[in-house]
Amino acid sequence: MKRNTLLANIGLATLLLFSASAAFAQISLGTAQNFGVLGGSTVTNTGATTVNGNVGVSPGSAVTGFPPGVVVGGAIHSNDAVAMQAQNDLTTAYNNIASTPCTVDLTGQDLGGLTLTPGVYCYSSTAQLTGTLTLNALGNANALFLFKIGSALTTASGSSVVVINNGGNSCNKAYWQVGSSATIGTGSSFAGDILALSSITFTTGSNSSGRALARNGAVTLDTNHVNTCGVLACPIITVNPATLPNGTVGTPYNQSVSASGGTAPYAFSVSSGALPTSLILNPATGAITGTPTVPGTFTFTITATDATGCSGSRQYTMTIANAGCSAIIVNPTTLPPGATLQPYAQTITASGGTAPYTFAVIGGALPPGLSLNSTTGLIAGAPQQPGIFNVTIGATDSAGCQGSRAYTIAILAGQPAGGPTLNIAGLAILMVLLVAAALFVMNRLSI
Amino acid sequence: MAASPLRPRILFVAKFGAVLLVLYAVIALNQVNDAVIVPFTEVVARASAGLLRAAEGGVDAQGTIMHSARFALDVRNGCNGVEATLLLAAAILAFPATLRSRLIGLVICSIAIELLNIVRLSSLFWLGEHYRQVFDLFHVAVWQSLIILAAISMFVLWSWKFAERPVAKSR
Repeated sequence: MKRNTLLANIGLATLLLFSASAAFAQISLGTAQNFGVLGGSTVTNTGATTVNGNVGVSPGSAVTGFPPGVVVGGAIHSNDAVAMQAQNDLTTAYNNIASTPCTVDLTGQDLGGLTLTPGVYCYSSTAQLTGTLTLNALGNANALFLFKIGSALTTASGSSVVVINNGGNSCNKAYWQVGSSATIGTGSSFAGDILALSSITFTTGSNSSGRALARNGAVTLDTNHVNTCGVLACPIITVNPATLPNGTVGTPYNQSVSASGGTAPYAFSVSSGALPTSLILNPATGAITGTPTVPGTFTFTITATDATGCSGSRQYTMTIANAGCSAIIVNPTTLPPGATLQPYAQTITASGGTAPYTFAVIGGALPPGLSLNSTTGLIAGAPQQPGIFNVTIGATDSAGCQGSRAYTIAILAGQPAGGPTLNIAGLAILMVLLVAAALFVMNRLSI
Repeated sequence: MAASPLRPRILFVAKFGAVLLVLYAVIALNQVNDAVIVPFTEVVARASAGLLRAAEGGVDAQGTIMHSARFALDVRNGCNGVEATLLLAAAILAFPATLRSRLIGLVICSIAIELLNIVRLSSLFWLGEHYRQVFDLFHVAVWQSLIILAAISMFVLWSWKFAERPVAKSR
């Protein structure tokens, strides 16, 4: 009986220990999740916008611009019971996020260039995104990123939010609770559900893989693609193959990428970076052809867009070697993790070519605070911020032949703490108690 | 002539000490450490990170280091539950019981201690992330007490059930 009680107490304590974190992990939009766009006063569209899911407004009633805007997998709800309930649920979700404790305060820091792991990130006032914000889900399909922004959220033209290592779940992993209004800049690619107290504006050509939910103000659209997750979401579109073979200057190159998971036909495009000089991508077939003329390492992203407008992409790194080059091998294969403000030093080496070699960052970026010595290959410094950083280091030998290797460097928050199961005193106590327990049992059993 | 009642007790203490010395000597070998203990510790770190990831995202393990954006925990030798398991194993092996009973005790108790250690590491990591101020309290006091309590409880339950009792004298 006592044993059962003890086990029950231990179980209860363990359950309580994890319940707080479970609360953080569960953000529900209620019926608002069925809306791609939900406004408080008006919803106004200009141009060929596509919204996956319902478009609604409440307590206002004006929804204009559909058509030319298109609602896919949903309907327009103009201050009806559905829209009113969605607004109620939106308020509940907004308040839930607002009451979640911050784990990292980013006030004053531009989101551009940051790589963040799941957590609750806060701004006491405005938040700005200029460039690319990378959300690394660390392979966890249930990873969650919460952004609590005290006032306005603004993204510069061409900015993007990219979710990587999503654990096979391409659905929204980010919620943006915005204390006033959100403005998504021209051509930006945004990810995550925006829950704004006032208005949300998508400027020309910006896209969002997440909902636009405004409590009191207007949602303004202009030739956008607003995609939502769940039953209404786009399917996961995969671009293959995972890697492309390298090429050689002067040798014709012919490889194709393909796409799957969506509705054919697909249109292929280079969405970031650039193909090696003189290679071209056929947008209809995905064939990459041509004869490379310039050696080097090229990093680019190919995006496939299916017949319904849903898209998927994959980043490639291709090395074009000089004719007659042998393979340059970059080592080590992995780099160890570092800790913030702690000295870090690792040396990259190269082999297979003609020394001396020069080293350079040719893709991604080193953790802030670390730098690469182009002559010695030494990566050294003291990392300034925690996170997971992807970087590709290239090596070039004296003949101009090149090789590269991609690394992931984990920077931990502070010096790792240790956690002995039992320290010396604990081990001594356990040893004495085991002997005492054995003698006790032997006495009781008359052994 | 009847055997001294002290004999089995002295024998237990002597066996316990001897087995403990042997087991600790084995894990002190560099080859064993490199081939067994370190890989095992990495598994423990991954399992602990996985358990925590099920409740809260953003935790990963690289080698023996569990990390998130806010906290890191290095599962070093001594943190992997192996020493506590060896103590319990030495007591089980030294106690008068059949070989089969000892093997049952070894397997069940070792797995139980290691599972408990994974829960311990996950909870300590969570505390380190969210309530750093009580990390040491739970690390040094609470979890050590729980591990000792669990080990002693398992040993008493096992020995009580499986001890080789003296044969009753016939009248």
